[in-house]
Amino acid sequence: MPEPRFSLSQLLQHILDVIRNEFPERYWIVAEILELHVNRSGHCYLELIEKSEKNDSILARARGTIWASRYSMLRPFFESSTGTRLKSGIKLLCRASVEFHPLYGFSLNINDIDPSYTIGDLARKKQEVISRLRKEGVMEMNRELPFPTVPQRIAVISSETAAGFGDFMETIENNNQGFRFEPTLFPAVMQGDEAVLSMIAALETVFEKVSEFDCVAIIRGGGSKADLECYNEYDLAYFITQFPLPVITGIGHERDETVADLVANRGLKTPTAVAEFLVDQLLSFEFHLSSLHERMTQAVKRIVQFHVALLERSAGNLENLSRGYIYRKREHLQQAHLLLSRVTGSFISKRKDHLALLQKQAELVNPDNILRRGYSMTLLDGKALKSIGKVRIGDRLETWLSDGQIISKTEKTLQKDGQGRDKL
Amino acid sequence: MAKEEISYDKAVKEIETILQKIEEGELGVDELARKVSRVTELLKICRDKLYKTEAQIDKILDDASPEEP
Repeated sequence: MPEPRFSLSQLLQHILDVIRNEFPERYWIVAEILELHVNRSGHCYLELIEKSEKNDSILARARGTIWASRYSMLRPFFESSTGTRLKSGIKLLCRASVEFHPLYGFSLNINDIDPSYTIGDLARKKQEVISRLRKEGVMEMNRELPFPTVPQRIAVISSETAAGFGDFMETIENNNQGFRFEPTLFPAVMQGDEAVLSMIAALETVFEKVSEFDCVAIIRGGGSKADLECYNEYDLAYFITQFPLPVITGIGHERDETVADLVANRGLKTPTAVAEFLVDQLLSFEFHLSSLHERMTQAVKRIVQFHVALLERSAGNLENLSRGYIYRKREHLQQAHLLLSRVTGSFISKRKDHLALLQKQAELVNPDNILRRGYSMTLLDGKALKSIGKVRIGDRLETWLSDGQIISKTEKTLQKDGQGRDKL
Repeated sequence: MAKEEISYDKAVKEIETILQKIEEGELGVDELARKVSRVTELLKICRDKLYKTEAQIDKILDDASPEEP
């Protein structure tokens, strides 16, 4: 008996029946989006895959559809919840019915998406990127670059058409203080699949003239709020860590910081915040200059006051000193004079007294004076006669008076001491 | 113009070094006067770089004002 034959439609109809029987419900399925496109009617067509965790090879693949009525509800909810668009590379937890159509084949009709799965998955991916950067020891490299004292020459990575770029330029060009800034735009695609490569290319252009800039500002704003995951990608983050200039980000995120924010020298929320930050840097430098100026003024004032006071005091001192000096010298002179006169006076008078005494003595012993006072001197044979004993009667005696001599002859001699001896 | 090439950091460092000397009061009057004028000059260089020139401000104002025939 020949085996039964089916037409293709019969077979497919049979499969359809089996599927309907076997998969009557909707199922929660985890899958990754490989491709996605939305047609004019607003229906969304996806290619869903599952990759091997070991080597990224594709283990399963299926078409998926989200009908326009559902898609118009699911998309905004998903994007606002996850901060990412539904696009290639995104992992989903979606609720789908299993569909089979004889003409169009197998597909999954998605009628719900649980964004929390994608949030978790993105967070995990972001964490993986951070871990990798940490492991490679580059996480802090741009953060550790010293921020320039006066950031004026700004390499701006942005899109000229982005509203954020306009805000940024407006804020720094028309700052109230009139600070000078020199922003240079390096255009790049700031969102979407090309963003990472485009931003890296722009950074490379900056790198070629790195000495002409003080810092880099990565500015994005006004675009889709749900298109930030490119700022979590390893390649961009790594490039930022390796960049020799400090990078500031202002990519308009509202939720968690992206990896780019984390590795950048300064991760700020919005382009305007970046511009304000730059203006503040110049303002604080101006304060520093003012304080230096004030310090100098004070120091010089102090020195001048000190020297003026010193001069005044010196002038006063000089007067006092010179007066005192003269007074003291004069006094000293007087004292010296007094002392001198006293010393010499007494010396002279002493000498005078002594001389007078000597003279007196001299006068006393002068024989003339003695004779004048009535004493006389008798000589025998030319010699002064001191004792009576030698005198004989008849001896010729010569008696000297003050004004002449007597020649006489001895008639009698008398001995003193009661022994009157008569030699006559 | 060569003098304007001095960087902010170098200028500030020089100012601070001079200020320290001034504050220590070790300078003679002539040197003090010289140092003060150097600080003033450095401050001016910094501020000249920091602010837009009048020409630049005029240009911005011109750009902002409606075009004239």
